[in-house]
Amino acid sequence: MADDMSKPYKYPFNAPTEEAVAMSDVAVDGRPIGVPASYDRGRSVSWTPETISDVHALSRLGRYQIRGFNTFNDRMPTLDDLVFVPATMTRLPLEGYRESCDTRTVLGNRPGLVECPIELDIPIYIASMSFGALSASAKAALGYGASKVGTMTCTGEGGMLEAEREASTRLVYQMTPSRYMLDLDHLRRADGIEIVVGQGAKPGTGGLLLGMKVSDPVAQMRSLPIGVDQRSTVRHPDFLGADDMQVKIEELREATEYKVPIFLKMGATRPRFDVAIAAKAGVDVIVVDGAEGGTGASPELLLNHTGIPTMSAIRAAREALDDCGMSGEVSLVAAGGIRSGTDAAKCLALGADAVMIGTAALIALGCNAPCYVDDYEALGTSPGRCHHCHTGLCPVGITTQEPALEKRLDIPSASERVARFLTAMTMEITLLAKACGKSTVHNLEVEDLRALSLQASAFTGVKLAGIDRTYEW
Amino acid sequence: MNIIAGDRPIRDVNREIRKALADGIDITVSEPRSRHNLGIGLPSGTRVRFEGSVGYYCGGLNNGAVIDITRNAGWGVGEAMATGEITVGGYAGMAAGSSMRGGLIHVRGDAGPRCGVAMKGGDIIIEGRIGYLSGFMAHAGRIIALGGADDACADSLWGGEVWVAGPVKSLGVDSKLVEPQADEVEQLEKLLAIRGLGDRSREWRKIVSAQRLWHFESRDASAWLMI
Amino acid sequence: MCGIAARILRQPGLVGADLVNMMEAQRHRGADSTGFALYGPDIKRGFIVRAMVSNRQSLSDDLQAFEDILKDHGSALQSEPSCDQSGDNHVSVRLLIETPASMDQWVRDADAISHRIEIQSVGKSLEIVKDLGGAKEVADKHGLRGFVGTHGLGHARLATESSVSPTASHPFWARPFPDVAIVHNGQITDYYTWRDRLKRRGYRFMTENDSELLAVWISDHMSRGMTQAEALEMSINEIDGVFTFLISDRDTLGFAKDRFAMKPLVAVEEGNQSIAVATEEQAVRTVYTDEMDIINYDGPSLTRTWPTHIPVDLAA
Repeated sequence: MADDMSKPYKYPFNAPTEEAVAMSDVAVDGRPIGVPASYDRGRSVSWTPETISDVHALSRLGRYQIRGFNTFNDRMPTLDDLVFVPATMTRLPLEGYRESCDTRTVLGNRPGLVECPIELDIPIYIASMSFGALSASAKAALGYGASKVGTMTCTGEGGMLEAEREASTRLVYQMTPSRYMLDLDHLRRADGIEIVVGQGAKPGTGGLLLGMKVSDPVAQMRSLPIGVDQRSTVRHPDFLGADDMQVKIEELREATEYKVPIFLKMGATRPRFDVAIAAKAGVDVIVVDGAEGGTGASPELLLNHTGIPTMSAIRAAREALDDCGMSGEVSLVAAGGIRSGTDAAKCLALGADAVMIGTAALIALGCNAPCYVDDYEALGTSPGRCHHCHTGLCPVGITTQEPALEKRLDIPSASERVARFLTAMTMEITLLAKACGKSTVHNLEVEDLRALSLQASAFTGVKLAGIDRTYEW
Repeated sequence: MNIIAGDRPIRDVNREIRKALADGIDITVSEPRSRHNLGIGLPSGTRVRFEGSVGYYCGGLNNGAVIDITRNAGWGVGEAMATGEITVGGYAGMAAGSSMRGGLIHVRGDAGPRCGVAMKGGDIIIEGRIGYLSGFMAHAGRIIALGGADDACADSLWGGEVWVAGPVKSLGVDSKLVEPQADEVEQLEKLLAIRGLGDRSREWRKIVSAQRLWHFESRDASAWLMI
Repeated sequence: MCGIAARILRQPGLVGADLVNMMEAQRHRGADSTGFALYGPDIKRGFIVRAMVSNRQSLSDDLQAFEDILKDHGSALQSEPSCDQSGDNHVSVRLLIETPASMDQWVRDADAISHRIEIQSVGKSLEIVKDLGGAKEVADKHGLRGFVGTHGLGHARLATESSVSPTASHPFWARPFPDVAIVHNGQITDYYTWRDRLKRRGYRFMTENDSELLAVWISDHMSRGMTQAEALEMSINEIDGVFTFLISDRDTLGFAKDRFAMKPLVAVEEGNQSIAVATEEQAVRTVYTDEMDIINYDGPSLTRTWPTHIPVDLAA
């Protein structure tokens, strides 16, 4: 109000002193007067200490940063936003502790194309993780544990390890773009063959194994120089699209005389289209791996910023199969950050026929267990926070090729832990299924779930709790 | 014994091929009509001759058979071969010998792009030219091109060797020319002579990995910890 | 992700039957839908229009609305339209029209009712017939084996990022340029960017299919003075992604292949200048059953054009 300046206001009392106005020398919590509250606390939302140190790191390295484990992106909508709504008045529950609920799961049931579909006792199996990323002991323990509960494991990028073939009663053989150790004999000894076009942790890119893990046996199997930083191709060398892949699938069937199911594993990016194409190209089982999937090593930016969450991918994948009339013909497996039987049950309800666990299986083996704590500290981390798989210095002998470290993984007890975890997961699934009145876990459906948030409802098409309507536009 | 492919389902044709070979009979397959997936995973001690052109992956996962294709082969001839021998009378399409681990592929005509991609052993002899990105990410083994090479030859090799006795349009990423040693050339010419291709007047270019894509930089574990 | 083919006959002949055989041999590459762009004898005056009516119940109303729009643009039907008699709800229609005052304006207004009747091609010689299912089904439904013409394109589709519908399939007509058709194998990765640019230049797209973009892109360049060959050359560097596409008009048929050499193309060129081109060699073998020399267009960044037969004048 500039024109008021001509008539200045005068207090009816003497002007106060500065000291009286200030009242004190210091602010609340001891800060000097006149210093804003953000002074020592930072609080920039985009320039956090983490992002600042990332810029420092890149300026020094001249390349992207690399680590193992999975996404640290906290924007992911999670399965925790979904709950089950068991039977109350509208339907009858089954006795959780008494009446049985069938968990048998068949993958690749396609008469005429697959002579021996895979029959599992539970709807969970161990995900593909390579020998190379994992130690041979880890692979064997996963195999024995899976065999004890009547399920299977997968090989991974490194090819078929004899120890794993021996330990696993059922083994899916992975054919990755790099074709390490691709061998007719291994194909014929496998119970299924999985074509990999990507994985949830880092879709659109190939495998990565850093030099300190390319030990002599690993290098031998992969035909690589010892100690090289293996960066695999992402595209297959002899087919370049779903149209050619159709021909490749026929070749694999010819090689195995139409005995075993052909799987396709993909990272979740555009599942609605990707799954439809894969089904039309002729695969028997489609594995959709969401962004929360883990890996032994990856450029960090891919882990955090590529791929879509598992829970949003499953629904799209199921709808894609429904739309092209392939549901029931082609099996759908969900993977990517499944942590428990509860998560698995939600994936089944959303539309998966089975789930695959990777990181959870490793944790059951002993990953992040509070032993050898000094070694965690030497890595700069601690039990419960370690994600340093890429270094090959795993304190518990799982993601390492160092014999001294690998010795720490006791195969019998590790196998038993895996078996117990899978059993516990299955109990969780059946308990939920029975509470919802299902005599088989495969009858869990979207209607058994409710969303606790708009986001979860919008991403999955699950009805909002209470109001029983989906968030749509 | 002759098996006619023609219009019949490939599954039936392959079944007949396998049965005949199991009975110890060498066979010819006529009217292949450039169809895919003929002769997959054939065992050692067998001989098959395809009279005409075949489609993709002929002789794929070859496990010791001697296969003769009188005319052209499509993509991936002899892909993932472990051991054995495949001869192509005409042209071989993209990714000939893809990820093969042993054995020999001999193409009398040209080879398409990505010849020997991801190969892990064995030899590929191309009498004509090899196409774009040949030898891409090969691990081991030899690609021998008598007629020359197209762009990006021997791109991103892990290991292995590409020998070219004609003009090389351009080298791929992380590959380099090295001086061939006399004993290596001798060995090479011996192999070629066995295939009826002896010619001591050839001038060879030998291309191998320059190994600069082998490492990010240091292999020290501490360099890889998140900062 | 698909299979494509092209055929040129030196003398007018059963080009439809040849293309159907070529596409049937590539059926495994995609059977969501199959389509053909066939070039028959030149119509003496006006244009041949191929269209699809989405709902058989309203067929006569839709045809009437179409005719009304023609009249608004100084055109008319030359004769009674012919419609397919299959039981399907969507109806394939063939119409002969007089030349509109402005092709572009008429197409623009006709497209306003494309949800009822959608123009699939306009040409003096070109007829695009495309539908759901494999080559054999489409050929039988539309009687393509008897089509007499000089050249044509074929396409077998495995849908990638857009829906499966009779109209979202190839070949695409490069609206509003008469007689220009395209088939494409691959996936363009900067599709939306180019589509927006061309939309701002006034072009309209009927689908979300990247192949339609190529048809318009090439035609736009040609309308600004380039030859088909020059436009094909340019497309290799300007468009991103993986592609091999075949484009044809009355006089020339050509292809372009991307920088990465990922989508194959083989050809047979007969001594008398008939040709057959396809994604896979076994398709070409249905036309040339004896062992002929095959040209493998295998390398990166390739283009080539062939002259087509000079159109023969027959009664319209």
